[in-house]
Amino acid sequence: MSVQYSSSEPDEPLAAAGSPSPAAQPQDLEELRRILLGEEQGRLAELGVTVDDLQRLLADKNALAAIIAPSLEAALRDEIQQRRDEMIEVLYPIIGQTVLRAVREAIQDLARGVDARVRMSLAPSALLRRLRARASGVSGAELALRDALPFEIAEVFVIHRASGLLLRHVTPNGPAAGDRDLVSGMLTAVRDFAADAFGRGQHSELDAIHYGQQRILIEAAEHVYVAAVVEGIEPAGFRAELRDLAITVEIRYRHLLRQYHGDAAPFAGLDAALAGLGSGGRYRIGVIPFTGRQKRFMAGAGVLVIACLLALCLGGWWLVQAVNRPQPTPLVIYVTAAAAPPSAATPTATAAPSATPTATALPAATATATATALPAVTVAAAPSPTPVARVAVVDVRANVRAGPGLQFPIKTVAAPGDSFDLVAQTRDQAWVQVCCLFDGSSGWIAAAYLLPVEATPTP
Amino acid sequence: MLTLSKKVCLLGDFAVGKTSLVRRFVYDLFDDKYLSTIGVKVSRKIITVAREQDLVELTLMLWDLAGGEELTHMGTSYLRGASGIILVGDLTRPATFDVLPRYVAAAKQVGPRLPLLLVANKIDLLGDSEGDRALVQQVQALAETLCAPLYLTSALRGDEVEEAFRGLGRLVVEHDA
Repeated sequence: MSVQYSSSEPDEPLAAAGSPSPAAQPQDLEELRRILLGEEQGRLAELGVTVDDLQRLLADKNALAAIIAPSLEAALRDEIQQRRDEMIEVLYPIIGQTVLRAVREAIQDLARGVDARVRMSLAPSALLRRLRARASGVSGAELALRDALPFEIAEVFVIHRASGLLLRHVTPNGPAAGDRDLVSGMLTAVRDFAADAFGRGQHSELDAIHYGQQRILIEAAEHVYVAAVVEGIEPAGFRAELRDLAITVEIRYRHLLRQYHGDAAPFAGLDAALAGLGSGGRYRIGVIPFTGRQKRFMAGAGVLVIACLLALCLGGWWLVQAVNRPQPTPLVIYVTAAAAPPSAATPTATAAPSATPTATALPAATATATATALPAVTVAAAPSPTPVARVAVVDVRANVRAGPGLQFPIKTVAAPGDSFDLVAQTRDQAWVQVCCLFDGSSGWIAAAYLLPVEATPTP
Repeated sequence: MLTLSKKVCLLGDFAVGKTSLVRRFVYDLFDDKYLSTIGVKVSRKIITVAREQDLVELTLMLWDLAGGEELTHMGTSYLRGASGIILVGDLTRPATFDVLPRYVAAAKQVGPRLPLLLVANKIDLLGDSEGDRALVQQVQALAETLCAPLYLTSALRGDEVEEAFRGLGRLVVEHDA
């Protein structure tokens, strides 16, 4: 006997027994399904929601990393504690070299510092340095270090490590030149070449390239490296600052750098950090901006300099005026006779500019112990044919000048005992014109160096 | 317009014409001597390609790697960070296409899904013989195997060179999207 199963057969007897009509059968089936499978369907729906959440989570890598990170950290911490020796063995080649490099740099920095301080203490321009230090807002020692180690940052590159694509470039000469992209690529190629050719499996990298006076200093992080083209010797701590910059870029842009798609625009935010690179901003790229304090000091110094320049100009003008001012013509009294006593002298006429010619006795010679009045003189326009007075130089060497005053040039020097005819004297009796010198001309000698001697008759 | 930069490497045997292809249309700064000294020379080509509804100004940084019988370890390090590969063979030397799968294998180590483009160079030296047509068919088959678009170029005459670079530009930009 064969039994045929069909969907209608079981329902017929039920319908005959007063069961729900055929129209109600689907509802019954649905109810039956709900009773039998309701729990499973609910769980299935929950699973569907869970799977959707997981898919969204997997799509958002940052969220996934945030969830996984605590568990990973705990697992890693336990692993490290349990296998400390093995971990040290694995990490030593990397950490050891990093530590060695840091120690080497610290020693180099120390040597530079000592060298600079020695130079500073021996430099003759310590005062100038202090002034410059005050103007620049840094200590004298720091400025001495700066002077001792001239240093300038020419360019700074921030480069994606794997691809060699240029992320940012700063130079004091305006915006980045177009060919810096190629330099960035070739620099990366050279780094790769050096690592492959000389690395020999080590975790070391090319960290400097020297050429002439310039050097390229390179510090790398995981996905990015910073290359600074510098001239001179970098100051202490510059390397560390460069390394900090690389790490800062790595941390700030790690999401972009992990899967870099070639869009460098987000890295424009690095410009400020790049421009301030160099010993905490002391050696900035390009023009050094002044702080408020420095500006005030510079303004004060500027005013002072201007005031000094004005004073110098005024002083120079006064000096020029004083030199060019017409010298007051000394009142000259011409000697016409060697009459004695001086009180007997009789004034006659005068050719001197003085309005009131006066007969005056020469002062007593102070250079000698004997104070003797010179012969009285008579003011005259022309020498008198009468015997003239003679004077002799006392026991000093006396300058014979071209005029009655120290401002006149020296014509010759009269020796002690030299005697001359007395031609004239100034009104204040300070200077005496004598004749005749070796060349037959007359000259002026300070009266203090002269003594009267016996007069000689003139033809 | 979005501006992007991508690193692209040219791979192929000696004298297949990689440097000639690059020299024809790109901006050069460095001398070719770098190819023989450090094994690479970087050049630049800027093109504009469409991506979805936008235009992209794409700077292709072309790393012309010195060819060899096989890619050395030094060569693979130069491939790091590449967004696309141009494979170059010489139609007058069919053997230069035989080695391309090895270059592809090296490239896949760096980036498993790197866009590839096959350039069969020196088409100007190819005749119309049965053998030449058969060679082209073989190269086409290779391109299909590598899932790489094929360009038959002549660096001498400039045939298809610009198109090849633009083709790769489109590939790398689409690969990004």
